Amino acid sequence: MNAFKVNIVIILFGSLVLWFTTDGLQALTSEGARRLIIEKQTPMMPNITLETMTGAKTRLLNESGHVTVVEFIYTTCPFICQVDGGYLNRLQNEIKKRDLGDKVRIISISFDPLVDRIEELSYYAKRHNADGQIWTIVRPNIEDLKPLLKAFGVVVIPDTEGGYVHNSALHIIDQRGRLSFILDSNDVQGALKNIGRMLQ
Amino acid sequence: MTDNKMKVLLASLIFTFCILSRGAFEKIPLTHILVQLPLLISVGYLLVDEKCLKLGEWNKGGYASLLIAIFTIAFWMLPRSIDAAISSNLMEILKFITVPLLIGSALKLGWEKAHPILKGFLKAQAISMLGVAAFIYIHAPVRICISYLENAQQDLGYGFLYTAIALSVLWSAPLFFSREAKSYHLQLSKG
Repeated sequence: MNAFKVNIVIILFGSLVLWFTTDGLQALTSEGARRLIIEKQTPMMPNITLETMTGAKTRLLNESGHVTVVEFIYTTCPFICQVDGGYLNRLQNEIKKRDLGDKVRIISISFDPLVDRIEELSYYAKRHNADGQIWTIVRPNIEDLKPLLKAFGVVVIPDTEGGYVHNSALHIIDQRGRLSFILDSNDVQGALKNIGRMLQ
Repeated sequence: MTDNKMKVLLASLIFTFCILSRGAFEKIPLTHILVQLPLLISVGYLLVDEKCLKLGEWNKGGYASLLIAIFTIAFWMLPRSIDAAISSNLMEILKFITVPLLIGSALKLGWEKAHPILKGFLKAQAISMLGVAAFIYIHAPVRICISYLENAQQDLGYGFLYTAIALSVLWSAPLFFSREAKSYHLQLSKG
């Protein structure tokens, strides 16, 4: 084969590899890829048991067919989770205003269940006015934590100040328990739009 | 010991070092990208036997192997590839194979045959690419790699910037001190 043909083959093959590894140039980062893949595959989420801020037990997927908005937090978070708490509070109020309380619920899951005991969860709830009806703060059993984070594609890494950094986002699970959308934490309007579409 | 044997020995030492220091280097992006990857590239670069350079009609002008290197660099420049190398063993193994062979060796095979204008173009391209990457990594409002912290990402950005400056000095300095440059300056001063 002459050099010219070889070069053409390399360019075609190289472009193909880059095209497929970036999902058609749509996702250059893993967070972008996570959102894209989930919207395409809508994977079933594990139906694990969670402990709420009142000490009651609930499940990630309940039988009554709610749309569930999930956010991951740790209550000792100094900054981001507190800001995100504000967004979820807004989402809770919007859901109340639209009278969707029996169809939608919000769950903030602590990924630090050893530090976040029931007191910490309820303190966080109080600070952000989580009503316990629409919006609940919960923690998983420690042995469920890893598979849970993996199912959502959430990566938690320790930061230099004793806290954590994680890809915080709104994860929207449909009535059948499939993770269907991942949106930026502050995208309350986008979340409401998607929820509305799911409830139709 | 012959020159080639020395090179192979050195390459295997560097490669072993890269494997052993994996955990330490991959802890922060600065050393992952700007120390480990260049070391792995040097492994492949050293492994190419001088005799290989004469072979290969397919690699006339070095274009074929330089293209392989460029595509492989593009792949490993994707933040999600770097994330994947950390989270998946398969991708990590792939990195330790493709970075030495498809970047290091390919660069060596291509560079020796490349036309000076092509070399100059690639050098300019490398510097500007590092500059753009520096800008993105320093100013991005979000974390680009989910495996790394935001301030570590900025450190990498400054690392890109200093590398770009260092390379532009390294590559332009000989132009002022080479024999041709000296005789040119001499001619100028004589008027």
